[in-house]
Amino acid sequence: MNLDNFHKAFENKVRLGIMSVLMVNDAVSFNQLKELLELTDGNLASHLKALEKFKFIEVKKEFIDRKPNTTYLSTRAGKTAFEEHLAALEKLIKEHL
Amino acid sequence: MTSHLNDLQEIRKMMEKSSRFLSLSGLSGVSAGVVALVAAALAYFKREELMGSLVGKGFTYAGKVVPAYVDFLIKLAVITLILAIVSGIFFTWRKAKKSISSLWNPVSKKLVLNMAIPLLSGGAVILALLANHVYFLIPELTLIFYGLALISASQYTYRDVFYLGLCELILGVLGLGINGYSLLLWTMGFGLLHILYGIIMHLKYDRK
Repeated sequence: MNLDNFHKAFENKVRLGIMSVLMVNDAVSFNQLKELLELTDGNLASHLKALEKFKFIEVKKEFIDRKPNTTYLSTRAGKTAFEEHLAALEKLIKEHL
Repeated sequence: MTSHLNDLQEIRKMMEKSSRFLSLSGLSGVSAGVVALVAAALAYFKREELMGSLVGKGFTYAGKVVPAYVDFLIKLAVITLILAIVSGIFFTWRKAKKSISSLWNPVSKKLVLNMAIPLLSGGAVILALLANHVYFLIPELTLIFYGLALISASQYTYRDVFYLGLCELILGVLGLGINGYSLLLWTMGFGLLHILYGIIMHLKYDRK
């Protein structure tokens, strides 16, 4: 089994979910992610931190109507890694057909 | 192996869930269709009452329109539109089991924006025609612009909406070519098609 392109950042289902959302959306807020993935604040925050550490996502803090609004974006490196992960998944499944 | 398949399913699910508004209820379509059928019946009977003696009986009509009938139709159209939208939102809200404010998210905003652009353009065209006392194209134009609005909005919700839009558009374009069937085509487009679409959507997505 070739696992070279299986990035360990994506071993976790929550992180995979976060990246999937950020692949098809420009910028997503913390609360939207929470609702989509049905997670608690703490759980989501820790996985976001992990992805941030890999430099796969970027945090943007702004103020909307004087209220802080944090949004998350996927970085170029994150997109590339996610695509490689998908390609590796595809290959693996093809080999087993 | 199964864990990888699960991963793929999760990726697919999250991509779709985050980029399409999937809380749209089939019952919203049915209720809009019922409202349209009632409105069409009221329009038909009012026409018989006001102008029936001028043109004879029947569903088709290509004669001259009296101003009182136009006034009645404008009021009826506004009430019909409001009832259809309110009932549509109600059933979608009921299906989502969420607050109205959480239904108003970035995806539904994109959906509404993409629907509003063709609809408001159509509204402007129709208002201009009304202001110039040109009535004969209006029912067909409502179908055409509504069809375009659905096609444009379908990128942000179920793909089925695309086909509903296409059917509305085709009915409207057909109406441009044949005279006297405006009310019949309008009733088919806004009444029957909505009910049919709503039932299909309800069976396909809601009953799970």
